Amino acid sequence: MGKKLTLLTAVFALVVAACGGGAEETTTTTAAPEPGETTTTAPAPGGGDAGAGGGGAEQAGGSLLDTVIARGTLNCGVNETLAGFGFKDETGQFVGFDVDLCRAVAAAVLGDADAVKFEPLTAAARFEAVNSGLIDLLSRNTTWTQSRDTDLGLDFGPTTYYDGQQLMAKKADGFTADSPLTDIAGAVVCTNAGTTTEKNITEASAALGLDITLQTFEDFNIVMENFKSGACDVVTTDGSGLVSRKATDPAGDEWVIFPSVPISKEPLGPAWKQNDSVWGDVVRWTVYAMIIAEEKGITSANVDQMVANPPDGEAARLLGASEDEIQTKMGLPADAFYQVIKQVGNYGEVFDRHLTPLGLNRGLNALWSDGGLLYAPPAR
Amino acid sequence: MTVYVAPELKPPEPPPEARQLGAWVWLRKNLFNTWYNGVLTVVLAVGIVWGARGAFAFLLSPDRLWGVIPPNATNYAVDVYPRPELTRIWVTLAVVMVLVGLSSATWRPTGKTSWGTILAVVRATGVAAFAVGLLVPPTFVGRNPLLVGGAVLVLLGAVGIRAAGPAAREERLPMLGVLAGVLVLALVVIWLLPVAKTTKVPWTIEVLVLAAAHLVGRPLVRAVGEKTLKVVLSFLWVLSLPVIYLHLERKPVIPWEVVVSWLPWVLPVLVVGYLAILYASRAGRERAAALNALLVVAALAVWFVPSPMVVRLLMLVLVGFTLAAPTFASSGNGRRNFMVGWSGATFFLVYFVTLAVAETGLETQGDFLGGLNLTFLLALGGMLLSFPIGIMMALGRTSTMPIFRLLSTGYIEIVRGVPLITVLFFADKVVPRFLPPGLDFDGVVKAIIAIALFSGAYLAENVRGGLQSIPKGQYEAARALGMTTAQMTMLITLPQALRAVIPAIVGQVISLFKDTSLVAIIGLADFFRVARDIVPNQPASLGSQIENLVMAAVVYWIFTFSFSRASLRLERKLGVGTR
Amino acid sequence: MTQSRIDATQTRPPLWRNVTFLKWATQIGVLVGLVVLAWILISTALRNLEAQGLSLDWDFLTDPVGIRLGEGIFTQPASGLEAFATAIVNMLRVTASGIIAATILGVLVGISRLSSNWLLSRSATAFVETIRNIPLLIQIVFWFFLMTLFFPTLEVDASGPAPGWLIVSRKGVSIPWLFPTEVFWQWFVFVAGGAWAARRVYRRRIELLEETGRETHPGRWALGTFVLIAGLGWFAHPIAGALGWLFALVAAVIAAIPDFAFQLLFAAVSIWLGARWIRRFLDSRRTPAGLARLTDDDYFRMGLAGVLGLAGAAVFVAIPQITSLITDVAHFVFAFLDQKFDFLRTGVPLRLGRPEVVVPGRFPQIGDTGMTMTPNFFGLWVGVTLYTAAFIAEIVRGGILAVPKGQTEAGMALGLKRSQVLRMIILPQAFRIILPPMGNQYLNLAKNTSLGIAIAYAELVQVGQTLFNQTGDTIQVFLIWMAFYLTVSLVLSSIVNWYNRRVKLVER
Repeated sequence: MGKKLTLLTAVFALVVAACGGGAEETTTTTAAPEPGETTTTAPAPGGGDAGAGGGGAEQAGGSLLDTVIARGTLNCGVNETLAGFGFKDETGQFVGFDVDLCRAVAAAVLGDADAVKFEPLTAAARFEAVNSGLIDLLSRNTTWTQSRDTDLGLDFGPTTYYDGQQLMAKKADGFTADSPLTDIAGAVVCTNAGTTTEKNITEASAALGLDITLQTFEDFNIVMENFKSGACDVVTTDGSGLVSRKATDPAGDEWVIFPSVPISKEPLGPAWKQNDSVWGDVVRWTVYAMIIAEEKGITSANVDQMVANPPDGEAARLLGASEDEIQTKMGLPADAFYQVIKQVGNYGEVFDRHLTPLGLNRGLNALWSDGGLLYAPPAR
Repeated sequence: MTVYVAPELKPPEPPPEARQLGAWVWLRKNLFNTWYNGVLTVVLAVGIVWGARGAFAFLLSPDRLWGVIPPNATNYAVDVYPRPELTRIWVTLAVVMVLVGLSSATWRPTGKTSWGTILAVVRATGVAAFAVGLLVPPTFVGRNPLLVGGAVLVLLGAVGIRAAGPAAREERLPMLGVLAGVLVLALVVIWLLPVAKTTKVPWTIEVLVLAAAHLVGRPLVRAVGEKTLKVVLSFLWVLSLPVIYLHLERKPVIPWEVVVSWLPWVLPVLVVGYLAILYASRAGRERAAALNALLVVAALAVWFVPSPMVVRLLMLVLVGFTLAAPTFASSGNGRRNFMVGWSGATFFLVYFVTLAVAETGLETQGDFLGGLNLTFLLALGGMLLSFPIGIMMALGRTSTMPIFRLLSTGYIEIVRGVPLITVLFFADKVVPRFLPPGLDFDGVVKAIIAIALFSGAYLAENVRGGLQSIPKGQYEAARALGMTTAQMTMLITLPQALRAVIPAIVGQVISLFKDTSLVAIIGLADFFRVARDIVPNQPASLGSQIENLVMAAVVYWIFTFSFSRASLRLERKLGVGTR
Repeated sequence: MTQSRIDATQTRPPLWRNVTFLKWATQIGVLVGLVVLAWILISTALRNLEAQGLSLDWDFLTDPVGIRLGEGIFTQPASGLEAFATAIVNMLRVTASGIIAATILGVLVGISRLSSNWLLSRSATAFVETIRNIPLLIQIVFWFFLMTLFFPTLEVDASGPAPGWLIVSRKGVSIPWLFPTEVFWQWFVFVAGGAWAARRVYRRRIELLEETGRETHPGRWALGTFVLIAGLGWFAHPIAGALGWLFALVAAVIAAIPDFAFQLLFAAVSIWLGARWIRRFLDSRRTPAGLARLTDDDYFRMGLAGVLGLAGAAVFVAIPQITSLITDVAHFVFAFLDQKFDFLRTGVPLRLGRPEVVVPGRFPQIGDTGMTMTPNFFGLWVGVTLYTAAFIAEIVRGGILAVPKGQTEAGMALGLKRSQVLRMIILPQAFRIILPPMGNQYLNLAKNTSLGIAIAYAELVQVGQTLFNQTGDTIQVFLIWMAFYLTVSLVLSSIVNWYNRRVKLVER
């Protein structure tokens, strides 16, 4: 913020300067770069450390962990337009499954789940935000892919939500949950732009030689309105999005999601700038701690009793209740994960809070012991 | 036939017949005066009724999720602005109210109206409400209240007009009083009906502040003098914009320790400024030019040596002052004005920069500019910044210097030739590519600059039109008085040109206000994006796309329509643009 | 100016007090500053791009792209070039149809606002005030929704798909249309020739009318000529195939001449243009008494022109890519035209296509046999049309009000009917007043089509954004946008200016 205001001020000052020296014919092009210089130099004379979110400092050698601790807040990139995962509620708060991961990391690192500065990002802008240092952590329903992991300079954490792209059509058109993809031949298929879904359906239909008309909209709400009215025959996006729409819409019973095996794998999880293993460990183990807590039945309600009375050694270590805890070695406070569970909750709690109301089941996102894919390494 | 009749012998008679025959004659005259007009009327009436019924049936159907709008009112207004800090927004609104109140006392709108007009408005409202009541679907709960209320209003209006008789047409009610009455009525409504439940106390306070400022303003005018107060208020209005926005974003407390730490830097510059202005205005042109050259070098040099930002900016301002000093401050009076101007500029610069580097003091979750707050910031900030750009480009385009003319013309034509959305994409996606890594502007700042650059080109054309409309004699007279080009421009031509194009500029502000909705496409959370993307994606509001769009359209319409009406009135009052 | 001339006759002032010198020094200083700034920015950009693994090349125009477009000539473009071509055609479709519809509607509404019918004038006012005061972006989305909500769903009759005359549905509106066939361009030569001949005939008949004072029916003659030639061409169009040879020859010549010859030619043209400017400038300063005294300012101007001419030549010589780009484009155009003409091609130039519903899979769709308007096109088209019409209505109203009232009264006094007065006296005069602002509205309409991005209409901005989201080539896409929109602006404003001048000339 310091940056922005300084800039605004600089700009106002330029107006004053321009008015004062109006007799002189200058061009705007000379005025343009000056605010830029202001940004680089502004924080120095100001109140020293006042709110300067310096972007480049940590690149030299230190980890993002040190930067975040020194800053006192976590800059987290989130979605603001995806019900359940990241949105703004009526009181202007960021809420959602992905948002809670940011809060969990903040609770682990800073001991305060509210010490997060959320940066709402569009799908197109998110990776540049990581690379430019604008955000420390990207938690915005981002699919872990090979190119993003390597080419785009990101590192991905453990998958927090196993998703897969599916399609939705109306039962009245003869679709069932087992309909094959070939049934969409000749259909108008609608989806949202700027994500992998567009590419997936293009590739999948091309592989089967299907001739479809693809309409891509910026906003999934428009897609849904068109689907309801019949202007779109079929919609496609991540299964979670389809399920939540189907569950919350009055007409949802007449729709069906297919094929039963999604046309793509969409492992969604947190990402950060690559080659920062200290920071990576922190994010990774925050997620694992939430999963282990669920395995052991530790919830935000009973965590205090669990600390006083640990069920086993692993839980004691994880909650910082025993001497051989490992958090301190990671550069975190000993009670880091206690704070996570206390302030945010375990994985199941977070899921139940944000996704269950939308009609999503645990499915693949159940614990491994319940037949799901969530499997955390042991904390020892 | 005609004979001379002394006026006092024959009092003007109202045309009673036309009024008494009333509706029927009116219909014959205005709707069915020819056969094709009659057909047209019938066709149109059927079309309007059909369309309105359809629209009401759609908008008032039980499927519509109107319930999601009221709980999100704060989101539409300010997006994620921290709720405990909303007081600041009320305070800034109160500042505006004070200015409005003082201005209304100073400029004293003289318009008058009559009871007849007011009653006619009441009657028309009743007719409209009754008509709406007839057109809405029968299932709609508000149908009977609309019908009954409409009928009551019609009766009230009609009876009132009849009872008042010819006296109803005397224009003796001051417009201001009527406005005050409307405000009181609005207060009564928000206290009695369940609208604005959570904000009725602040709204009441705002209205009281407005009234108080107006009442204080009246004796103030007498004490200070109208002319002085007008000048002061004009300045305050311009300054209020940056002050308000700084207070929305900063802790409204000046960090004194920072100010004190700057004093050793600022005070010398201030004194040097006085001396330089004095010298530049007194010494001959050549010496002043030498001083200016020195100052320009110094002003550029401070950017390369470690020094507080405020000094760097101050030096730039100082160069502006001294450059203009030999031309404009050669008289004693001009010199005094320049000294005062320099002091004021220093004060406000220090004030702004101090606040700018201060902490926000906001317990915030993220970027807190959004909603209508951001929409207004974009429109006002863009407009304010577009002025220097537009004026410079207009001067450049009308200049005799070919390279400047070429550059300005090229800029204006290129910017006017492309859509705003490409300029916004340019600022959002292309500009970062040209900047060193790690240096990027905030999205809001980029959007403001893009809007200003875009709007500046249009403004330039307006100002150019104004410059060209100035009679040649003005230029020649200025030359004959021995004015330099700079003096002529600043004192003679530019003021006239700007005055002549006020209507065009106001029109541009209005269209700018609408155009700010495009920033939604590059992902800024302005009012339109909150309504289009953010609210309809809350789990509780899924599927409320159309309701939000309609609401947004209505809100934009209310603002733009009232702006354009106000600007029409301003235009008439100034009597410009009609020449 | 005057000052410097007086100075020049007396002792010259020192350089730092010479106004002309100072003016030029400032200008050149600023110019140099801008060039340096541009150089710094561009080199930074190149470094940034390199660091991100991008480049400033145009490969994305020819490389395969994995995108699909909602509608247009290539819905599955094989390359960026095809995607942009589709987008441009789509954009021009909306612009052209929008301009026509907005003009008609705007004029009607504008006249209605002045109607004596209370209901009509109030409705027109309400229309204008509603449309003008709501952001276009909202309106476009709104119209798009309206179509998908209120139009009937697309269904197939029990008898199966059959061509019809009009399809109105949520998936689009389709009407019959005349589609050009492969011999269309051969026929088009006759149409254009017919129009040209008709113009000549019209002029000739007018001249005859003025000479003899007899009614010569210029309009009928012109129409007859046009119909005759165009009708002849309908059957005789293969004759125009001969043009194919001409184009092939030109293309071959362009290909045969080596690039360096063109380079030299362009360089020479550049120098010649600079020299011509200087010569003309000198001519303009020549008085009967001989060459007027040239001021310093004049010398600076001439120097600048010379330097620019030389610089242009140097650029052509130093960067051969510019020349080869120009020749490549020219070659492509002529080779393309060559393909459109052939002696042996026969057939009908236009073919009637009727809309029909097809069922390619499970879902009924509108076939591509008619002219189809998709919901996206509809939303954008209706949006920009209504929005522009509201502004045009105000311009028309203002124009009509600006015609002096005496004109109406005089017309009525002559015994003309109200409609005749409007058509024959008021509108022609108002037309001259409203033409320039109308041109601005047309430009605005063309630019406003860029808002189609909000409803996924595949126009230039939407396609460009999709492309740069994939490739990261924002700078190039932006340059394409700018080049295209500036061209459209230039073309539209030249048409309006040209027309404006013509209308003005008639007045004299």
